[in-house]
Amino acid sequence: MTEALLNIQNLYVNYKIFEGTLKVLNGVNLELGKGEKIGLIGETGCGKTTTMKSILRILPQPPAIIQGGKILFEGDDIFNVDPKRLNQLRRLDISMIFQDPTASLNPVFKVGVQLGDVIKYGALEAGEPLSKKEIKHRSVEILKDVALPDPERLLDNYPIQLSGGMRQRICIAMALVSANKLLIADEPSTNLDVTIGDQVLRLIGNLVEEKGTSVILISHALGAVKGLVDRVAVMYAGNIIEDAKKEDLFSDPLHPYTKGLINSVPKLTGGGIPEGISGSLPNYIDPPSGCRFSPRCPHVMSICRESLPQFMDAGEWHKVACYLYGDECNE
Amino acid sequence: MEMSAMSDPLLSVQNLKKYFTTDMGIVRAVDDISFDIEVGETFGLVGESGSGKSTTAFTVMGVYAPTAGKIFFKGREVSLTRVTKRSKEIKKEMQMVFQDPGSSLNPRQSIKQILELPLRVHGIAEEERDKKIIELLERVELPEDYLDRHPMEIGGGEKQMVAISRAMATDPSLIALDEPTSALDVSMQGKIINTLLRLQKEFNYSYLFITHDLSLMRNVATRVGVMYLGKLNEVAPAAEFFHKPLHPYTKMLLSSIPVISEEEEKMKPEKVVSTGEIPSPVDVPSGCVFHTRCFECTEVCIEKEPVMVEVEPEHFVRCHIFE
Repeated sequence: MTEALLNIQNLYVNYKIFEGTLKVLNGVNLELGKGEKIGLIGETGCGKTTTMKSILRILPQPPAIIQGGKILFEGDDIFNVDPKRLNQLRRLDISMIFQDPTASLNPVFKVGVQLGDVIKYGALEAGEPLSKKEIKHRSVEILKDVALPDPERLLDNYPIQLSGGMRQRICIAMALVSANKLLIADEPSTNLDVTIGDQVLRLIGNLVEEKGTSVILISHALGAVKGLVDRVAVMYAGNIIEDAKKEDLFSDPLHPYTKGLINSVPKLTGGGIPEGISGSLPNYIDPPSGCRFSPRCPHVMSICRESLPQFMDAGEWHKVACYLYGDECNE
Repeated sequence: MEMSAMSDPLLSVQNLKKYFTTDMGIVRAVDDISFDIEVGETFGLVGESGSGKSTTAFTVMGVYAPTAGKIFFKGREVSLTRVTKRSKEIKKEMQMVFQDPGSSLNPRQSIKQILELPLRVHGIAEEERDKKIIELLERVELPEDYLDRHPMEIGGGEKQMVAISRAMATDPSLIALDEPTSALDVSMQGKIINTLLRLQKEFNYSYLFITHDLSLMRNVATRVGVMYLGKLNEVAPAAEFFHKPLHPYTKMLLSSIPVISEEEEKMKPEKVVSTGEIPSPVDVPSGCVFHTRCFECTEVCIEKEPVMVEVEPEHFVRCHIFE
């Protein structure tokens, strides 16, 4: 891997709610190189979005509490940077596309105003203030980049006047303005149709290719992840449990959860659908001790219930956190 | 009835139209579509959002009165009546499962109450109801102690199981499944789909299955129809639909599916780069509605609307290339 851009080390995040404390992130470790594209997959509620929001420091606190661990971005500890650097990170370096484009655009401002703001403050941060005319010009260019028809008119529209696909492309446009180093895309195509989703993913792929931006793509559509990324990390109940090159992960998954997950995707070639994985995500207030997948795991051993497995190398760039592979790897 | 030729299909939809009048103009949600559903088969409708799949299901089920066209059920015409006028006997035969179990189950009722309502409405005697409710839960493999729980207390997959068993409460012969698993995780999906397929075998249900997930459709449907802007563009037996798509839109759709394995990649038609937006349903393009995005568009497509032709036995396509 090239030089590390982002390094998440042992991140623990809890949510304090009325019923108790939800111990969601249970020591997340994830590393991302410059220009690298990774996918983060896992069931709804496994902590993907929580992890990503921690990177931008936009987790609502309370109820969230960062219990431990750190996130290094270009060597800077994100939880301890000064406000100036944080602004710089958010305006120039890192940006995020959210799942629901409707909820991430302000309904009472026109598209042009919202997009214009992102461009204006990004440029200010970079020390090259732009005039109103230049901002307008840039907005139009950016909307053209994301293949939106008639950009001048769009700038004068409110989000509600546009279709879901168009709104999502506007969010992508806004995110790309301020994502010079890292783009986090949280299920960007989930709410879109197949052909439009395909367009959006290709668009993200092309744009990051041009700028050399690193990408974290969150999705539970495994196929979509496969098309765009180099490496895939699988998350289960607050832990990254497998991390490998995409070819290895999809052809030779090791963790029982990854196997189940890949297995449960219906195949275009037919042949019926496997039952998937029985059971559901654990209760985060009182999560199972040891490996959190142990109650659902078909290969559970006694050690699994006692302590949390750490990453083991199971090949070049193939890490898995499962006791099944412990002995082989140590030899 | 003239159409009862050899073997009657369970459901026959003929030239169905459903228009909605809005402030912006007339939305042709479903525009002149025809299809049959045989006893015991799964007829799949795929298409992008706004293509009219759900409107078709809702109109067939009698939630909407059709603007034009006819619907025959077991040889009887059921289209002219509004839902309130459909006889109970017919409503009992046609049931529906909705996309989001979170909003299709009443949060203030227990599972028992939810399952009891259709039985009460359709006149099952009180003493038989309890037995029937337990049997319904057994069908979808939920434990008996779920009866007193409320939808909030059970998981999303289990909620959808309750919605399915509610639809089956009246022993229908046709069930419309409107994206039954798209609100759920993949790991749940297998269980629900397999339960549906098992119950179909056991009780000989016919399904009208709606989804935008083509990989899923491949595994459930016997025949598939693809919709675009209110029109049915291609209808074919499932294997043929996926291995030999003919309509340019079907090719574009199939080549856009993200897949995992190499075999699947090989099966996909040659990459058709998807372009353009789905036009607004208020202002549909002239001629063939797909011509604005079609990679094989010719002049005739802009001027004239194509008609459905049977290119091969059971394989219908609505495209000028095949006329």
